[in-house]
Amino acid sequence: MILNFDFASNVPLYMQLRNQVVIGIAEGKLQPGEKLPTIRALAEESGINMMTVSKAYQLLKQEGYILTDRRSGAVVAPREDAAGAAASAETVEALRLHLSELRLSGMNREDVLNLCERLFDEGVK
Amino acid sequence: MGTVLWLSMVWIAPLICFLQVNEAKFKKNIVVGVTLPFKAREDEAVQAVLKKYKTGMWAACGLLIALAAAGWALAPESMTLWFIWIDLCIILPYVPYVRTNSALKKLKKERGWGPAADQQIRVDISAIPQEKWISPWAFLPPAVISLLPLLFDDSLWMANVSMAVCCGLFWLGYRYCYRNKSEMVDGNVELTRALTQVRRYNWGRMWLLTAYSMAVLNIGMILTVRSAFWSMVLSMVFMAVVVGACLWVELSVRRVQEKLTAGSGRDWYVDEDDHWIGGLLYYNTNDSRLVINNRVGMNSSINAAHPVGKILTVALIVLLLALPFAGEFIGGGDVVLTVSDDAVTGSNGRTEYVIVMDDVESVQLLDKLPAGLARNFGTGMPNLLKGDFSTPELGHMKTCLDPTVPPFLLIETEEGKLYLLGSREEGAAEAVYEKISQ
Repeated sequence: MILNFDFASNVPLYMQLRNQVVIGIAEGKLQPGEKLPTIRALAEESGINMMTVSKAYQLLKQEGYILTDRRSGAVVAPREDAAGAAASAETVEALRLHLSELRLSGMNREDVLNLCERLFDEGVK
Repeated sequence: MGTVLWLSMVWIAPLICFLQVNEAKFKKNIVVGVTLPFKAREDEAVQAVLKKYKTGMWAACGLLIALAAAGWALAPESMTLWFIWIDLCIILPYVPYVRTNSALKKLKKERGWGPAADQQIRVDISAIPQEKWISPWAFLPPAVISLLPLLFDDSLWMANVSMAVCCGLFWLGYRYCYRNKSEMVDGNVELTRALTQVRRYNWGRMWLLTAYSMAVLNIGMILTVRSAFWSMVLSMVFMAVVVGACLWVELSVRRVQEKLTAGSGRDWYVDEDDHWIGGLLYYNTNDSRLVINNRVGMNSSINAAHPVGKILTVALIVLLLALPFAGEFIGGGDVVLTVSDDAVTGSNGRTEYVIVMDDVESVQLLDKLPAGLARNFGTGMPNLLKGDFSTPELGHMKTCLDPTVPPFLLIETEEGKLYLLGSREEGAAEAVYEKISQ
């Protein structure tokens, strides 16, 4: 899986890393139980500061996307495949914001739903 | 001795130029420090630029050899001239390199071959290196071998211990002068892994080779300590072996990089040209690492955008500019011999041997140097002998003299210590001898 870090972006690097790992898990590029690179290895590879990588991993751990262990490092957390599972309050708020932005950009309900369906299906492939 | 001095280093000019000419071959989509797509390899304009580059590089080589010949003819024993030539060997080959780099970048822009300018870094997490480092214990055997001569002769203990310590430093160099980063060229993960392994393996091999060579040198030093000629031969053989081995490893890595990436560059490929000034100096403010790997070959470089990198870059430039002046200090400075009522002092630069008059047991005035005088530790220049020397008959002595300006004083103290001193000032040795004899 390839991670892209945009240093010109307004989004902090740790959030870029966090977001891409979450998308990677959702799209199946990162499987439950799969080992992630160590903080040192990822920092060495990308040139990003170790503290930044550590912050992203801490956030992912808090949100339940990864599990960390001193000896084995970070692994993708197993997903509970429960139908009707509720999204977290933060995720709903973020979605509300993005939907508002799409509406303000001129997209109607049908366009938004089509877009959501397409993005969802991309992750399922 | 001057002839030996020039001959011992004249080979670095063709060596440097050979390595630079090798940069004209595509490796990892890079040629003379510029990343180009696959189609550029057959482009006539690119071929013309590369041909001109190779011609220019060999011309620089010829010029350097001619300058060496001129330096040897004019002043064979001038250290200042020699260091100036060394500086030119380092700087001159980069003139055609930087010019070609600039020409290729211009061509790249005109053809629209570059990627869209962005500030993105791409990381393939499946290709991040997982191999373990060579254990520091692997560097212990050469360190132990370096110390073995102490069992038979401790006269060179300082050199033996220094070289054993060097083996430890070699492990540090192996471990910390390398960035553990994958060699990503394009989206091919297997290619990335192969290139990464090749670099890593050869990097370790080179450092271990050097450590073991150092150990063998140590053994050789004990065998040749009584002969300045054979010591010099040994040093030159050691240098040839180490340089030859490192060159062989470097070229092996380059060959593999060239071969494995022969078909790369057709789709997406890594292009970091924006971070390499002139194709030579890595400058990336978004990279927090100080040590980075050269894109081609297996060596390392520093990130000049890093605070420590800035200091090191400036220090390197200062060192290059100051090198010619080092000639004055090495083999330069005056050799002085003075005497007072209390002591005799022989000095050159910061080296000073002071012998208390009351401790003087005997003094001899020698018209020529003792037979079999060999250097154990110190300076052995055509016009300066300084440090710890010895002869089979007399044993060890502290020496500070210009061998081209006799006579010399051989002083023995009550403790049995010997000093062999001289002066560049005419009549000074005789005057000091008279004073001591009184």
